[in-house]
Amino acid sequence: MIPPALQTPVARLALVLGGAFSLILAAWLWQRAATAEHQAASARLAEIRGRLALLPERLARLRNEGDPRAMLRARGFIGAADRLAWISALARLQAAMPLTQLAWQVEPSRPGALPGLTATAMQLDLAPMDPSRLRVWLDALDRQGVGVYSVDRCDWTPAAQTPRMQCRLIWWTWQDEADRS
Amino acid sequence: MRRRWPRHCRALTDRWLGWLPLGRAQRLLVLVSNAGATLARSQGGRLQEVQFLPADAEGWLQLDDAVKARPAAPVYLAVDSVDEAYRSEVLPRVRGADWREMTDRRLQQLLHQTPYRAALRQGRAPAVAAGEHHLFMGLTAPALLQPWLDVLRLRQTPLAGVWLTPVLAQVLLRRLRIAHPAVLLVVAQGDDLRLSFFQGGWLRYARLAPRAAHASADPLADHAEQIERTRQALLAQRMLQRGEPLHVAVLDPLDCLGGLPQRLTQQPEVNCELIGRGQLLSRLKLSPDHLTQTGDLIFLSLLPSAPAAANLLPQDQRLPYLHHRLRRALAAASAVSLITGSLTAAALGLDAWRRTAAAATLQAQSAAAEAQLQRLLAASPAISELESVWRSHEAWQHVRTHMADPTQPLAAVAASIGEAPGVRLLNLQWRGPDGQAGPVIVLDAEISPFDGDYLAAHRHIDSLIRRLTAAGWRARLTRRPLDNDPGLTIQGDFAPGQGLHQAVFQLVIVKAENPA
Repeated sequence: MIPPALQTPVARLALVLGGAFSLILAAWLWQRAATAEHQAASARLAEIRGRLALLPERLARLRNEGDPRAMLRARGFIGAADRLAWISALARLQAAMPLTQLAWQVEPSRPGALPGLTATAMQLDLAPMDPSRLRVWLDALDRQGVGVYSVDRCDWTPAAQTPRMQCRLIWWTWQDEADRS
Repeated sequence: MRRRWPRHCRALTDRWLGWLPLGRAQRLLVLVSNAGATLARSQGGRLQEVQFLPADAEGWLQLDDAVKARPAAPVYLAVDSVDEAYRSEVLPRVRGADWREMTDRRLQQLLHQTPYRAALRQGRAPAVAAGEHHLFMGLTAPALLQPWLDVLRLRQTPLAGVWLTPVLAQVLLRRLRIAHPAVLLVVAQGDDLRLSFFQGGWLRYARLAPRAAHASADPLADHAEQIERTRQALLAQRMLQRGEPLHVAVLDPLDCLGGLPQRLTQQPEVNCELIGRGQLLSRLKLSPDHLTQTGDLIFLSLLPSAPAAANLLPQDQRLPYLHHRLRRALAAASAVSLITGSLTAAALGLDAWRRTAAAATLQAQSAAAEAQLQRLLAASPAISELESVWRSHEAWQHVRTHMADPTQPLAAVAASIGEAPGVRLLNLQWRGPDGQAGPVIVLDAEISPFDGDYLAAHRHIDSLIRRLTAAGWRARLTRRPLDNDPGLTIQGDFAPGQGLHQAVFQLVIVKAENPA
């Protein structure tokens, strides 16, 4: 219980402390917002200046190498992931080069490391198969021209009754963000 | 001439900012005696607005007016009366609650008739082991003080305390730097003479001697008589030994007691010193106007320095002053919080404003750079597509880093293993490039046929590794047919019919950077 003689000073102190705290809090929030704004503005300026600085190099490359997009589009790299085309290509390969086993499984597409890049994994179970035969088979798949892929993993079991290979392919596609929007 | 704050501005400031502990603290100092009271306001150690109040209703009214004019100023009260009691004793040296209990009990025994009493520690007693000098003192007849206290109580004025004048004389002694073993300080107090006896700087005894009828005619004779009477009293109480030197210091604010030392030559052990006007002005914070025949103002000026332990005011009457101290502390805390909060907020606000201004500058620069970039990109259709071309190029380059042919390494390793007799390939795993790491082949094989000779099996594997190294690979054995680690438990059974033994091993193979 606060004595009556001290009630006003205590109330005054509480008011001052509350006011001071509110003042400091408001100023701190303002300062924090200003800092974020400053950092964003600084980052934006650095990005634009970077693009300006790289412009001559990119112009030179464009003059020397030309626009690769037509080639990439023709190879199936630019555009949406076309799963049906890949699977149809497997079917055509099986018709041309029959294997006793050609099991496939396509996983969900996921974003790649760069903006616009998409990676789709395809698991293959091929038998009978060995490295030299796999080379032939992959060359035939390349000639189908249904897309761009890389081999992520291959497991070869030569000691099995029928030598088999289990491979994981990554199908790559890219779409410019401006085109997607 | 110093400018003064206009009166109406002062009133406004006092009303809205009066709670702030600005400026030097003000105190009201009152010295009560039989003749009345001397009232002064103390600010910054200087006495101002000195008034002499009669010991009647008019005086009490004047005190009431003074207190009403400054309700927040604490009052320090000194008493100069014949109704005082002093008792010097040596008690055990204790501290804290034990000391309070001991002294309270002794005070009750010695001064039970008055609540205005106190005990002072006065240094160690060399003659007594673990002993300490104490002075018990009190106002035996509080009736002198009561009307004045009633005025203060009515106004709920914060009363800091009540002190006896001889206690202030002890402070005066130290200010005057009088340091003799036995000192008798003599101060004229109105119509009376205040004599205070000190040993080793500590107050031991005091008396207020009324002036004789012939004092006005021959003040020197009156002084000499009272000094001698006091000396005899000290001898009688054995506070002073016969033949022990006594230094008599007499305050002479008007420099009119020049012949006094000659009057005291009858006693050779008595040495008299006059403290003149010049010395008083140089040692005390008093203006020349305040050095009068009476020592009231001298004692009043010393009242704020009175020792807290000598405060006669009972504990139950100190609450208003405690509240006053707390109010000032809370006001100071409020002021500090206000200033600190304002400064901190101002600093943060200033930084925020600075950053906002800098961000605006950067945004303007970004807009200018963006405009320049757009101008360049708009200059040619090819250039306008440049960003998209570059992004497609970067994506393609990234994908190319993942492309690697598994068939050639697999075939090469299989061929190397195949040339090694007694090794049966179980499984080959090829892992594509991952970032900076190149392709890796994990080979699982077994020694076949195997007759249980693990030592031979290990030698066979070592030769296989050498063959791979020669072919430009770097192989690391990650699983042995039998792990020979001394920290592991290994077991087997070579008895016939216990099944075929196996010597399975695993190698991790990468392309050597520098083929052997």
